[in-house]
Amino acid sequence: MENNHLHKELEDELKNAPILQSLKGNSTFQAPENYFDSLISNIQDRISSTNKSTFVIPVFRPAFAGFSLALMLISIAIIYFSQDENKKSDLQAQEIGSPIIDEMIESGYYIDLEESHISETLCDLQIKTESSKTTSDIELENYLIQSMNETSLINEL
Amino acid sequence: MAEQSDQELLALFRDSNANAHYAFNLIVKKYQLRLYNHVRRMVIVHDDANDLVQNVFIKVWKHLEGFREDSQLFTWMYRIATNECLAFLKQKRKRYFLPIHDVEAELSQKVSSMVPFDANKLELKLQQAILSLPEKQRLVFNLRYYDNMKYEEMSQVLGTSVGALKASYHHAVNKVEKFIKPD
Repeated sequence: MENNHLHKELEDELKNAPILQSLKGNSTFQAPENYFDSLISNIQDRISSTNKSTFVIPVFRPAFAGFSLALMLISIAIIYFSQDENKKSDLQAQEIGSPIIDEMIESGYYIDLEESHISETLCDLQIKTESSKTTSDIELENYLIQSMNETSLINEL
Repeated sequence: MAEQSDQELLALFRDSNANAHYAFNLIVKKYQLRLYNHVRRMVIVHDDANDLVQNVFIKVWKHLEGFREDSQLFTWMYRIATNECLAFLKQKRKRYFLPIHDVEAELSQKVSSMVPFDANKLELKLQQAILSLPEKQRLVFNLRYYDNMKYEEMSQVLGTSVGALKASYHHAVNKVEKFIKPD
């Protein structure tokens, strides 16, 4: 009954188009012979080949991009802080100057300190102190050494 | 053997004890001719229609498991097929930098060169008339005139209201009839 109703509707729509009415029902385009016999197998072959596709790293997927970014930031942070640690240990070596060594000696830690360590540290401090001199300081020293005679130096001491 | 209904085919596909490929093949067998004709009428050339039809069924395979049945199976497949055709035609325009009417003119020329139409000039004129319609109107005309699709189903396929579809078809019929009428 529903089909009859539809059929009537379709006829009514073409009542003012007799040529279209006459051509209705013609199969317009023909598929090649046996096309539909092989269509299913062609589709199945394509489905199988898409299932076997190689793993592709979804670089542009948001989740993957976020993960990569986080990993990069962590790597940078590790490199930065490990360099920072090295600097700190340098600073610590510098900070362990003579006042600290004195304190350690007074409090009894001197027993654990080898004399070579203390002297090395003091030498390092001296070298660093000397290397931090400016050109004008060096020139002044040379001048004083050249200007002052031995007698004056002894008198000064 | 009586053709199985869409509900039966879907149930068979989802049945864990049954072979999903077997159920899918039954779906392909049921709809391959209709979908092929629908696509072929839009893109004209068989090779293009063949590629698109295969694409349609592959998408059906991929998404059938999640099909929510808020529309009928065949309207859902028709919608996929329609979208494939529209995307194909859009891509064709971009590739050749052709304005819209040139693609249709190109298809119209291809229709002219097809063997079956040599014998039937009126049929050829009809196809050229349909190709002169705007894309969406061409879809409406094909679905109603050739597939005898109900407007309610067509509305699900095209996402357009029933009223708009009726009006569109009415105008399309007038235009095509005027085109093919002998001078």
